[in-house]
Amino acid sequence: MTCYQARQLLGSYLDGEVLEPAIVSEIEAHIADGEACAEDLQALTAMIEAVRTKAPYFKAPESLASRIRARAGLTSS
Amino acid sequence: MLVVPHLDSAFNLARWILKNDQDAEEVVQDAALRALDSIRSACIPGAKPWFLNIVRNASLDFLGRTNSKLTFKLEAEEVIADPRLANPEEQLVRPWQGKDVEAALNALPIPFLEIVVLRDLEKMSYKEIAEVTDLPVETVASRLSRARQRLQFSLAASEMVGGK
Repeated sequence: MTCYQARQLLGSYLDGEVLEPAIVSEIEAHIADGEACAEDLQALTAMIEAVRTKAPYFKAPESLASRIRARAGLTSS
Repeated sequence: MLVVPHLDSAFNLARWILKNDQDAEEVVQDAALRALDSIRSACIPGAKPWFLNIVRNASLDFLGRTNSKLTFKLEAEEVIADPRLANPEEQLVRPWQGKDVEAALNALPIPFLEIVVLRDLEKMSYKEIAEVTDLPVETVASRLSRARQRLQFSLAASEMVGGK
């Protein structure tokens, strides 16, 4: 596996979305052998963590569910 | 009710796409009523991707854009490699601020933004995201990879502009 190939797969690897065990093994072997790709993985991990923990999550207003229920003619969930 | 457990996810997605609370609320309410018109049942597996697909399409309709136009725009904006990304470890030394992350997300074209929101904020699988966005799973994976490249670029740039 080349560095270019590995970098294309790092995100999917972190997401647990590389489903073929052989490819997972190739990625892990490549990371273990290559400092640059290991650093890329570390940087990508940090960036994803920043998005997950620091991006705002816009919760629906509490009144929205009751309004939808009323409009739909429903009284309970 | 089928859609109520997913209202936060629906509102979050619509709010990121539309960037406005009132528009997001209106779109989600209309999408929920439309969804309820089409099916009324207890919670079922797959209800979330199904409902978010309706919300996503309603949000894009609200913006007055078509999928084909969005795709064309996306393909015309290929990621350009940035030399600063050759030193990704530099991005680890300082924590990013929430406002930088929000700005970087809002700078993404919607076809990238929606996939990051669905993956990293909604914790949906690539298969579920494919259902929401009507894309092949392979396209979801490649688009997410490119979106994250752009985010790294933007966050690195925000550090440089901020003089950190």
